[in-house]
Amino acid sequence: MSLTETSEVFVAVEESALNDLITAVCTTRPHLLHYGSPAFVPASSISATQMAPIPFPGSPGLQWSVELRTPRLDLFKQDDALPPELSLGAGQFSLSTTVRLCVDCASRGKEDRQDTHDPGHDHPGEGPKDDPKDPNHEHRDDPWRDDRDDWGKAQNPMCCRLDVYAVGHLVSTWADGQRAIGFAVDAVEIVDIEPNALESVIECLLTMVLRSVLATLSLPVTALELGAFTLTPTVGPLIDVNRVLARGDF
Amino acid sequence: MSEIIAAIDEMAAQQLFDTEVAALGTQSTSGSSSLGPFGVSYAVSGTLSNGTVDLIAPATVEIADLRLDWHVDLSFQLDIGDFIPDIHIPQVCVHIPCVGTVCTPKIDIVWPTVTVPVSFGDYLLTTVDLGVALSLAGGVWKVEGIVQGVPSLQFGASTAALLAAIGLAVSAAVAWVPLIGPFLAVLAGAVVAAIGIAGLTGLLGPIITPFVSGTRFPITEVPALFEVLPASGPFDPAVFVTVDSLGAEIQHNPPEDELVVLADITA
Repeated sequence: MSLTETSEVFVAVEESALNDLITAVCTTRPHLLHYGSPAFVPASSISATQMAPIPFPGSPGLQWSVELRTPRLDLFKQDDALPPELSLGAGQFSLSTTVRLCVDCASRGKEDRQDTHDPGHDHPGEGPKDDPKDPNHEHRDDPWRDDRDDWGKAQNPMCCRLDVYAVGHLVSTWADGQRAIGFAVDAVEIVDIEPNALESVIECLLTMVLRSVLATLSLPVTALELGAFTLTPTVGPLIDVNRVLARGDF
Repeated sequence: MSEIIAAIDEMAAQQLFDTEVAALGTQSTSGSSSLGPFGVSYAVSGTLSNGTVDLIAPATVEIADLRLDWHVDLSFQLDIGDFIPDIHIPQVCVHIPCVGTVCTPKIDIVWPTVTVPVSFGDYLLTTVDLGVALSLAGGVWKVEGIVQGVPSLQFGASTAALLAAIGLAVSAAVAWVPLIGPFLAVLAGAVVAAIGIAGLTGLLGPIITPFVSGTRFPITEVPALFEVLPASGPFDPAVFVTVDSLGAEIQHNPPEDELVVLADITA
């Protein structure tokens, strides 16, 4: 069977190369995976994207941050383990990453902070002690103060890490004026959160986060074939067995 | 197994080589050589076009009926005396009664050396085999088709036409020479005979063959540091991946023969 079949050009990118391309984008532009309000992200930069605090009555806004590790993609057929709630169908990819959610828990008082063993305070290995942004003790007792002078100085950051799994499919899109492939999320699963209603809320939240993040992550078709030949896709790009392929005109 | 595979079929390869052959443009060179018994200076140009691509596994691209349009400007020195003997007629005097002595003039004809310019163009068809070659130079992976061996160019009817053109050029070049008229046809014929087919092919072959032999047809180039995304703002620098290895081969994947480029990358 020919590679090009009835087309003139054929391109295939193995799963490992696709992950290399995604890793290259994410490590060169880490701000695509890191978002936060001013207490966590004092200014937009290559490493993070500043966004507004969550408005809430009686406060200057809830400070937050979301940071994802570079996602790893597994193309159909399945190689990586998935939670039982998810299954990888033909034409789909699975995605695994770790999401770090942080809020600046400004309402916490000194008494609360003394309980360093509070199991709800941080995911194991996480917490104010581990965070580079040390709490500012002078302002702990004024939870709703105007903190615009302290951007980048979360008062009492509380963070957790969640292992997130998702399945999705490729979509055609454009990047920098070129035909590109994008990634769309079909379902998300987070392991071991109870009660189930909370898990559903978090999953919904992270589905929206992942969709938004992945919407900014696309790979030009030229990158799939390293510019070796000019390809105008008529078939795909689509997920074949453990690879993305496209066929088209020269 | 390679991480990235890009392949084109013969139809796309035909388009690729049409483009690359056209991109070569007109090649030209000049120098001096021999044209039969003559020393000759030449300026020659050649333009490749057309050709039918046939991909042959595992590593040959055959281009049949590759057309080379060539044009040559020749210039050689012709010593007419080498072909027509100089004429020396001594003075003859006779005594005629009542008239006196009457003498004929002494005639000395020493034929000059003239410059003969010849301008001629034609085309030929040839079939070449390209080997698929890979190189990494200056941070760029290059895949090229390189003409293998030295093709034997068949000039065919060109040689007869060029010989005729040389004959005409000789006639034109010596037309000004006094008293050459009766010898013109003989001279042109002698020069053409001296050069002959062998003399022409001995000149044309070596000066035109380089337009084909060793010619490199670019197939593709891939920077070793490949730009996945261009820079698009202060927070979005260009994204690169490293192309660790690149390969190229002809694969016979029935019913097609395909030109396949294989690559491995790292982030």
